[in-house]
Amino acid sequence: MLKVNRISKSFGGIRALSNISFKVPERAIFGIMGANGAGKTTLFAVIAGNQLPTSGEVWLNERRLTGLAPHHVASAGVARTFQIVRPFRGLTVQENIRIAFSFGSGNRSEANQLSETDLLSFMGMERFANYLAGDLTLSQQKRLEMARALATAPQMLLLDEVMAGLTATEVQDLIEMIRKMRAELGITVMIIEHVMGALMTLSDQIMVLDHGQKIAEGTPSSIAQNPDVQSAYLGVA
Amino acid sequence: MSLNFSRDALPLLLVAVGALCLPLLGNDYYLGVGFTLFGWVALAQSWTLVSGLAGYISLGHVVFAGIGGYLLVLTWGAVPIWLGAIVGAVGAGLFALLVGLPVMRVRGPYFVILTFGLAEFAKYVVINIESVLGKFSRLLLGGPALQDLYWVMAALALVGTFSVVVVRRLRLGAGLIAIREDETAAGTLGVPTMRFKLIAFALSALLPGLVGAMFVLRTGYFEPLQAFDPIISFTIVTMAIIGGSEDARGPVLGAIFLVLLSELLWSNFPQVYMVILGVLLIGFVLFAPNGVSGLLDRLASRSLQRPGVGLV
Repeated sequence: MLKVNRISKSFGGIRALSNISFKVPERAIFGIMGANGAGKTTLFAVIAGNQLPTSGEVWLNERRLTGLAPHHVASAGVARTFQIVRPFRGLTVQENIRIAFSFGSGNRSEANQLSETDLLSFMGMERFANYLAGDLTLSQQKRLEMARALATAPQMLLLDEVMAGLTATEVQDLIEMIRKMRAELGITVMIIEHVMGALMTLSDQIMVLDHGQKIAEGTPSSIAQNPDVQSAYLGVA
Repeated sequence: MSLNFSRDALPLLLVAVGALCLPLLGNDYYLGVGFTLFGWVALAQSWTLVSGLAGYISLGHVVFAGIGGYLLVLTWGAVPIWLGAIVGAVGAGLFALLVGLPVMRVRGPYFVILTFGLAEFAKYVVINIESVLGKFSRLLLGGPALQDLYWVMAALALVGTFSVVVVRRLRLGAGLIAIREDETAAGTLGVPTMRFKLIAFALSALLPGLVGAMFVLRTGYFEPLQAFDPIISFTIVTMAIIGGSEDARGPVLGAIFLVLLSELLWSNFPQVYMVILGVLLIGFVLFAPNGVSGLLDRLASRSLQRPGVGLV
């Protein structure tokens, strides 16, 4: 479904991503791990059209995403959340979601026919519908970030550290919610996460980045045992 | 389509009722004040389309009025006056599209300074063209009577107010507000940011083009230093700060407030006019950042839950 082909991205002399290739099959939950600065968020920015890669291409099914403006990537069916949340602070939760609804991908699949209210209850945010987004707590803002991305009716959702700073129960809730997104809405998920337990239980496949290089890819159990990953990521010699 | 009374119907009513009542006072002085007032309303509403909704603060909006005025002057005698004014509006709109493409790529203070510089640049270009042509200021004889100009200007104010009410209800308006709140997030959610910004910028130039033409017809002469006077741009921003620029109320309230104030102060205390204006501005920025209309909302709701922007 999503095919990333030899993506490199340099900022001046720094190579944030070098030669990254991978495929994400339809309805997969694809995890990405790596230390801070490994290039995970840059990878999302490149896929979503926020940044142009130095070289390489991203394809969604038969469509080339590389070079498209962010709103065209959105209408192709890719939504992302931001690690540093970007709510429309002066707007209510409902208004935030309404905007995503009225723009978004414009192709609601049969599976994803959620209305604004459905979506709010799906994300457990009905109570906050009339709150200003800027008045929410960080964990609520992260939820809003996801709700807004879902409201665009994506085929594919890129989640960037949505669990950071949440309590264990909140993490558990979110894991269930992400599973529901795939099961009930048929959405393919790519997820960057530092909460290892969550990433291990959620993902079908995990890719590990280290200093812009892909050092491993495989099932969660194979990743956990991979010596390269252990030395690069867990600091085991 | 439901109208929110305070946000939408109130400003439309104020302009319409005001336009009908002022002539009843039967005095050219009031017609003149009304003409100026409605000119400011039209300018401030146009400014609100791009600066209030999309958050791109233009400090050079006078440029569109100047272009409108200048094109009217250039076509004077060659085409009917109304056509000259329309040429002015279209010219201002095209100019906005043309410069918008590069200018709309910068944000925040850079955009503010760029628009200001652009307006000054246009002013000096016109001054130079005029001096090459050997004209230093042009007299326009045989223009329309004040009464006719008054009605045209009142209509422009109404159209401007209506345009803000309507655009806020369109997808365009929602997209512009999203751009103001967070442009990156807006793009990622599917808002065609560049296209919307350009449309808003061009729309916001059309009415000022006509207003500029009316100003020239009213004074009966064209002088670039006056037609492109940056004080006009500053006054528009001042009105938005005092009135609020979230919806169509702000420009109307801000224009009424400022025009009344200047009529009162200017005639009684010309020396302290600017001082009082400055103090007021600081006061509003500090204590009522959403202007008079923000104060109205606060009085009306009195609840802790703030109202959002009232997207429809």
